[in-house]
Amino acid sequence: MSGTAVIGTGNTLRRDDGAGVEAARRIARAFPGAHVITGHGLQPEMAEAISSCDVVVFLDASVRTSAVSVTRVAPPDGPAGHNVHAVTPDGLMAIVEQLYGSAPREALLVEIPAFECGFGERMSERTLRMVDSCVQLVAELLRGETTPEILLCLAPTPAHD
Amino acid sequence: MTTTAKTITISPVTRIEGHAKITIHLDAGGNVADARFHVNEFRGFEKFCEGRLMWEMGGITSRICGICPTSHLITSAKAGDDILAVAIPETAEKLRRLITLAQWIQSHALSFFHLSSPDFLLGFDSDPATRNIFGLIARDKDFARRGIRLRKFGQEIIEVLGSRRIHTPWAVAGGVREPFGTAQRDRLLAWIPEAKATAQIALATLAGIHEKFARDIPNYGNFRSLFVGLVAPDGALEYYDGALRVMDGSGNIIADKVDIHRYGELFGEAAEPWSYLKFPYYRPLGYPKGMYRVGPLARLNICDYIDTPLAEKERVAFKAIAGSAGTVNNSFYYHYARLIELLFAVEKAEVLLHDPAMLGSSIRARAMINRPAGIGASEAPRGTLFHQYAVDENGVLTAVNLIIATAQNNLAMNRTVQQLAAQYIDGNTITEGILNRIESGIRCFDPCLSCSTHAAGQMPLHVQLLDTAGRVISEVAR
Repeated sequence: MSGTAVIGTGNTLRRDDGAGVEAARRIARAFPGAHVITGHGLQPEMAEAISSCDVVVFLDASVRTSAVSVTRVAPPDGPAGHNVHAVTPDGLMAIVEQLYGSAPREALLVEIPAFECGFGERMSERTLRMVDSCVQLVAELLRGETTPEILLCLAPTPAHD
Repeated sequence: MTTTAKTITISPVTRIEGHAKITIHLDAGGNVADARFHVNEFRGFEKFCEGRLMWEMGGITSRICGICPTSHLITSAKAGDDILAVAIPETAEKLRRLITLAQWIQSHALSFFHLSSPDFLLGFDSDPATRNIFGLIARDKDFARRGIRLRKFGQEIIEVLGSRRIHTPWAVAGGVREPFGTAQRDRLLAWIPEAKATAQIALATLAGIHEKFARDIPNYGNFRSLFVGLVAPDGALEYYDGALRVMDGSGNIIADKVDIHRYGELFGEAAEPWSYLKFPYYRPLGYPKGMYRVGPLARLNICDYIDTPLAEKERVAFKAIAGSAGTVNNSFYYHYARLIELLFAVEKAEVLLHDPAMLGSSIRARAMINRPAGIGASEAPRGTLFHQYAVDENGVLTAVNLIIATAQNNLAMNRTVQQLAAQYIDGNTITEGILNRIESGIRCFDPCLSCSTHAAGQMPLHVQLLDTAGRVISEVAR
């Protein structure tokens, strides 16, 4: 087990929906040696890459939060409800556990508020500011200036339905 | 005895790429009178591409789909080559061939391991909540892990060549943007032994599936049709270039060495009011008699041989299924043909990776607009893909026509649904297992509706039994 993996997902052609990808790209530029993966969505193929990591951080846009929020990701009890077209962070963690027998010690979902998700590649100013905040949080984590536990305490958890 | 006509609706069809529904129409006696595979999404790429520059088409059309963007990219680049009137450098062609094989590997692995094998290994009647790749992981970790890694190998080739796994803009009219290096080559070569072994394990697993489902298989779209695809000049299995061959359902070649520029003479497109997916047909036989199939089953039927040893050995076994019929006409054997192609793609990728020409530095021919129109064709995982563009003197598109593999299988998919429905639906009992068998008939073709019309995502299965007045008689949802 070593290191932190950062996975940013979203559709960069739907404005703020690409916030997770944008944040991950910035992190990759700032930390050239960091283990950063980007994509439109999570895929089972990503499981192997994170199976040997100590911490994994998922970055994604969200319309259910108004501030950058951090949630702990735990694997679900069973495979029910998951499909290959829409792999969720907890579903991916389940794959990691089942296929490789070891999972990251900590998995965090960092949600970045999205306000404008129409067609286009330019994100809204509000979401861009949130991307800055997200990158700062993850950068502190990568530099060892904070821990997942502290992030979970400091960043608000979005309200669930 | 049932005395009222009914319609059974399966909406959406699951574990395919895109959205669709199936309606099964029962007569007053409860017998299947008709069955239709409806594609109810529309995106209209052909129209909104008009007015864009020809050079942009690789990037635009690869956005049609997240599964086979590379096929659109390559076919678009080939249409661009035609407009420029250039012969691309040898290195560029070989690199394009490699990425086309990578597309086959990742897509065929997805189709078998992620989408179809859960039916076969977990059972048609197993809990639909776990009848997926996750359930497969729980049942056989090694098999699932191998499938995931094989797909990853295909994705990795695409990423190495194109800098990203999907929607890469790497191929352009005249060639490709970036060359290939020895470090990249060695990284990919390291995958070959495992990939080859996994393809062979999949074939062995499928052989067991053939035995297990021996009673079901004869009902899976078992009918004569034409088969269409590209073949190499010497008749070998082709995936990137070649000429069109048309074979009838008895193994007779009825058109051969047809230049792709003549595809419009051979194939027409019909439309039905109940689907956005067009119904291509072979013109000389008219609609709908000119039904034809494309993709792995067609390619394995029409080619004379495969130029890699392990896949060729499997092709011979595949052709033995045809016996005196001349062609393998049962759609279930799409799976077998797909896995043979998967093995071929790995073997062929190995050959290419050892080819010194892959490391050349001449990768792009540059030219101005030299023709007012161009056509590109290649074998996408699901079948022959055509891109036809017309441009003005500046390269601005004035017309776009995309003939997608899934659409070309439309008539055959409908026929398959009809056959399965007639076999399993008795008008009174509709079980989850029966519905899944009908869906799995569609999955034989591995349709990509995102490409052919287009949609994304997945919703729960919803089935309704309606009487002639539209009243819901019974309902099943998951």
